[in-house]
Amino acid sequence: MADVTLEHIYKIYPGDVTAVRDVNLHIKDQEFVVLVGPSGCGKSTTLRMIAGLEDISKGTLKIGEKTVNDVAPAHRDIAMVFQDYALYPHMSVYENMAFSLKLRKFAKTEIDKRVREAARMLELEEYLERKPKALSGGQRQRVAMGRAVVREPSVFLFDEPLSNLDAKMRVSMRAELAELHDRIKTTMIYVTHDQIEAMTLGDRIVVMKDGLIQQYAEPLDVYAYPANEFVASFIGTPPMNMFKGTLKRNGEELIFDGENFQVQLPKRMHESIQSCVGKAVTFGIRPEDMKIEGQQEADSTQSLNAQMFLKETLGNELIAHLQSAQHKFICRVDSHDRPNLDGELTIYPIMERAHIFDGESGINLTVPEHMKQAQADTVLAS
Amino acid sequence: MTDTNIMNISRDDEQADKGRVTKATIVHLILAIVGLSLALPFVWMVFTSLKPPGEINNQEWMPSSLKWGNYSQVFEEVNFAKFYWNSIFVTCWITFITVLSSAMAAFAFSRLQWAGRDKMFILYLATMMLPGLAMMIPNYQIMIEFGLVDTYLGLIIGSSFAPFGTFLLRQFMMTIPKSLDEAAEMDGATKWQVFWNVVMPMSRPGIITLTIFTFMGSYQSFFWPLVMIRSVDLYTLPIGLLYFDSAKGNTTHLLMAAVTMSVIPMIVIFIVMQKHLVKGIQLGGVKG
Repeated sequence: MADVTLEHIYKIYPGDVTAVRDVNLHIKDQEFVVLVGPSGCGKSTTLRMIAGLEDISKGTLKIGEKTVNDVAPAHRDIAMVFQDYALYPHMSVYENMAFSLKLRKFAKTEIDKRVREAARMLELEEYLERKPKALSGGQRQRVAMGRAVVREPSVFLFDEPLSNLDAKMRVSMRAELAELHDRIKTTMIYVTHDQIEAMTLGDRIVVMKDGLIQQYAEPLDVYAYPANEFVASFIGTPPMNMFKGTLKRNGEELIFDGENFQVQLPKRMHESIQSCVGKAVTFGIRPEDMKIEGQQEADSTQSLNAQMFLKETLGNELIAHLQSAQHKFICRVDSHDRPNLDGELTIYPIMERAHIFDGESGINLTVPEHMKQAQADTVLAS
Repeated sequence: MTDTNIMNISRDDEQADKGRVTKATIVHLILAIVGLSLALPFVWMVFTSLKPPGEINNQEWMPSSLKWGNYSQVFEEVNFAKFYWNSIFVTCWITFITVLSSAMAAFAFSRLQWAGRDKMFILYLATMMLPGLAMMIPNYQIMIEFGLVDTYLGLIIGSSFAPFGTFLLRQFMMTIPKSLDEAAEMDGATKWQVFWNVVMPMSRPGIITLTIFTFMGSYQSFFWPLVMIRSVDLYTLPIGLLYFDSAKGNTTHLLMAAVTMSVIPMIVIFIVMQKHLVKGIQLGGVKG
């Protein structure tokens, strides 16, 4: 068991292509951290550098107290589960799980004990003699986990392990992974492009884009207080609604002016955004925080009128795609009362949950101070 | 649907069936003629090997009586058992070294990262463009330098490294996912263990193919042993068969008996490995 610390880590490929830039992270012992981001954001490269499968161009990587930049993967005391499982097809499930222990010259009895224990834990006992090709996707995934578990490593790494499974299997494997973490209490670093996996599995999540960390925080904090426009749109389905406009002052009040959509901003935001008066800003609000008249209570002083142009029925809720002049946005609506969404609708945004992003940098100007401090503590100072 | 329509449809089906049968018959007939023409020399060889000496020049294909003694006479005339042993011994070593060295080179060219790897591979592959006979002179000079002429070692070493084998296995190994090497490395395997425990077992179809091709090629090899070997004790079968040339009188029946015996290992290999051989040809076709 160990902390993992990344200090100013860079990955620069030949031709001066920078895949990972100045990544600073401190992953606590026994923590489950998920690296999430779109393709090409550098999450897998970061994981592979931790694994030792990619050289670190610059920076320091520590596992526990030990700097491991130049330590071979086999000697880092880590185990990895690959996207394609990477099971040896010519070996049985038992041999796959025992392979690393054999290479490390463990006694046969110890190997047998560990493999059978892991097989019991992952419900693989009846498949031990089978070859991987005779297993289902979920079973192969469990074998890959078992292969990692038998080694009892300090750190587990997962590289998009559920992406080859169907939707139903993914949900059940997600639960198994969470259970596994609860049971073995080991540091786990998990890479995915699926924000639902990130939100459901991670103690904390690292959102990455273009090789840079955008935010490192607990899932609910990332959702409630996204650090910038990218995080706000990437985390959450449907994504946060964004309205482009200008910040204006009207006496004591600060107003977001998106032409036909004008709202008075809450007092709590004033201090952090008043320097942007007269500048371009983006008003962000989650679909569930836009209430349609007749649906739940809402702040009646702030509203905009819109018409629905597309409806997605999900069963428990409706996703209403609305348009108000040039603004297109989404509302999440409870479907149980079968609401009538035809004609002109009045929408009430819950202003306390709204965000103002800087028009140029995209930084969220309205993240509360205590959140900013908490995030600064988790990401090492650059 | 009316009865007339149904009858028309069934008549169409019958005609289509007839067409298919006629086509299949023609194809089978052509294949039978080709197969027979390929088998004829072999049949002639076996019949001739069983003819009494007086019937060698007869136009008749069939011997008047089967003279099995021709086969034992081959062993009396020359040390045929020794030739057999030499051929098997040399072929096995050549096959073993070729397959191992090709697999190791293929691993280096496909799984390891090193500067100039792909350029080196092209250079290595370019040697395939040189005809074997053109390479024989420099190879022979090397063997003279090392004092390996007229030795088993010279015979084996000179034929044991094949760019084709490296090419075949490299193409095969490139289809194995890289994550398996990485998983093995994380499991604690050295590069050699990755090669031996992971990549080699997974390259089995390619290795079997190369083994068959190399074995057959080496077993039938004529020029290199002809150039390299002086001592009768080291003669391989293709060289040993020269004993029965016409200079020693009319010994065609003995020559045919010797040839029949010498092709037995090839026939056995073909029967046992038929499936792999076909797969290998497909593999070579697809990959090459």
